Amino acid sequence: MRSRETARFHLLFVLIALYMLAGAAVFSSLERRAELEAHRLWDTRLRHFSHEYNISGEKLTSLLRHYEEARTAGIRTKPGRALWDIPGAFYFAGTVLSTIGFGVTAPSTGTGKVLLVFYGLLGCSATILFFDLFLERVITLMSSLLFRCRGRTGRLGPGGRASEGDKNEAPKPSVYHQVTLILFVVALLVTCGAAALYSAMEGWTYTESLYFCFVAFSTVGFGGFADQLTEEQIAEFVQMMTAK
Amino acid sequence: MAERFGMTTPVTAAGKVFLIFYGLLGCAATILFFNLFLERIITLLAVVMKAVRERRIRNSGLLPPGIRHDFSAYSLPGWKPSVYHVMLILGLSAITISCCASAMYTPVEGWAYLDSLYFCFVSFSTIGFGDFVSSQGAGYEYQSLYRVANFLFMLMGVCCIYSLFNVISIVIKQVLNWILEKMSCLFCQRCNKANVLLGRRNAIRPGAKGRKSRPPDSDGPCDSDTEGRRLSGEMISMKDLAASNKVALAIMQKQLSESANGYPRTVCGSPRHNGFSGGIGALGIMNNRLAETSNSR
Repeated sequence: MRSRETARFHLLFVLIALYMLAGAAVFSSLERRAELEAHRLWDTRLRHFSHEYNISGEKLTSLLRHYEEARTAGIRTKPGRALWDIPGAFYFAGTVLSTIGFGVTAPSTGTGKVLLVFYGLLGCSATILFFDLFLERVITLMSSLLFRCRGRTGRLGPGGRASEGDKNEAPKPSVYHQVTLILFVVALLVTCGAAALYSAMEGWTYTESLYFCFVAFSTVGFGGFADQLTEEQIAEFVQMMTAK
Repeated sequence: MAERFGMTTPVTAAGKVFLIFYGLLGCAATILFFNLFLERIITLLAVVMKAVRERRIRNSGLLPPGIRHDFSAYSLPGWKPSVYHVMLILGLSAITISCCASAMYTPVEGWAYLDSLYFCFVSFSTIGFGDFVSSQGAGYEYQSLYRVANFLFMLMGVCCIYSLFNVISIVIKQVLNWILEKMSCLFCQRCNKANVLLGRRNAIRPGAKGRKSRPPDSDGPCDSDTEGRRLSGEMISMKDLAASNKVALAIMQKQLSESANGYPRTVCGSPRHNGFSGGIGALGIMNNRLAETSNSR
């Protein structure tokens, strides 16, 4: 019934809005103090530096502004990899198509930006299709496996008869829950494996790696950890695609 | 959702842990929201276009004036909006929203208009590089109004672009089917025989007897979305070709999974206790809603 579908849509909107408000309250209470502390610390450091070396505040600020500009081109205090060589650009294409978008690599030329729009329209659509079909393939495979297991152990359907493909009786028990559980477990395994790889290669703690995995695989992609780019991008992508 | 702006990210460990659980539930709910939005749009479009058609038919005098209005989009035999109509409408909406939003961002944020358009696309597609982020300044003129407008633009923009991506993905799927069919025709000498059988519904499909309507699914060669297009002659159904080659195994597997999942979803759309048999996500929701993906045209 269409009125029910509309009601469901509106209900979901209200629930999500409430969820956002609740999230805002929780995150704010967790993070606000650290933010104010960071501001205090930076002000102190800046003042001490300007004092100690007798450099005016404006000159420092102008240098810092230059540094912020440089950061958008990928410049960091610790040298990282090139951003726009072929492997780097391939990685960029991946962040676009998966919609993760870490943001470490982003086009700065006007032509690049225009091209991105059309590139993304087609590419993101195809990638969404890929993920949908991938998921559907996996579910089909798992369902048929589970169904075969059930048939072999002689489990009966709710209609009381174990015949296959007989459409006249009540629907067979759904494999929905088992499939969801299996997918969840696989995602967990991939995440734990990936986190182990990152903590070994990038020098993050295991918890930080888990956090990065979640942020990347959910395609949120904050980019806070993407400062240190190493040669493991390809392995990373394979895992991202699998986990998503 | 999946947008990242990178300005506001948790730094405390507790914040990061909370984020994982918060995001798991929240992103899933938001994905559902966007999918339902797409479904609502298609339903609305179907209703509007059907009403227009009915009025046109009635005005031309072919129907008695007293015919009862039935606004269920699925009762008018076989008529559903085409994926191209939906794509056009979503595309125009996305362009309109982006242009309006950019017209707002350019003066308020001080970006160039092209940069604002770029920002709109990157945000609405949920890529979210973070090189441009709106509403990060310390103070704006009409700040509350700007924030509300910013939120509304984001919401509408993501809805449109996300839906547009999903609709384009259906078109891509049809292109893939067409390519497969062409390639298969090249190597399959039974191509001619299959062409003759095109007129018959469910001709060779194994297990088709006794079944009134094929369950919609979003599988490869065994697509429900290929059936509707037989009439248009534009792209040929793979079903008949598939039955006559080794892909029959995949079809049987699909049948097994469907009977394992229980009876396939009804046209009304609520999946009951098995969410998978009609296809996944937006593709699943759009199954049977559009002319190109449904059993009846």
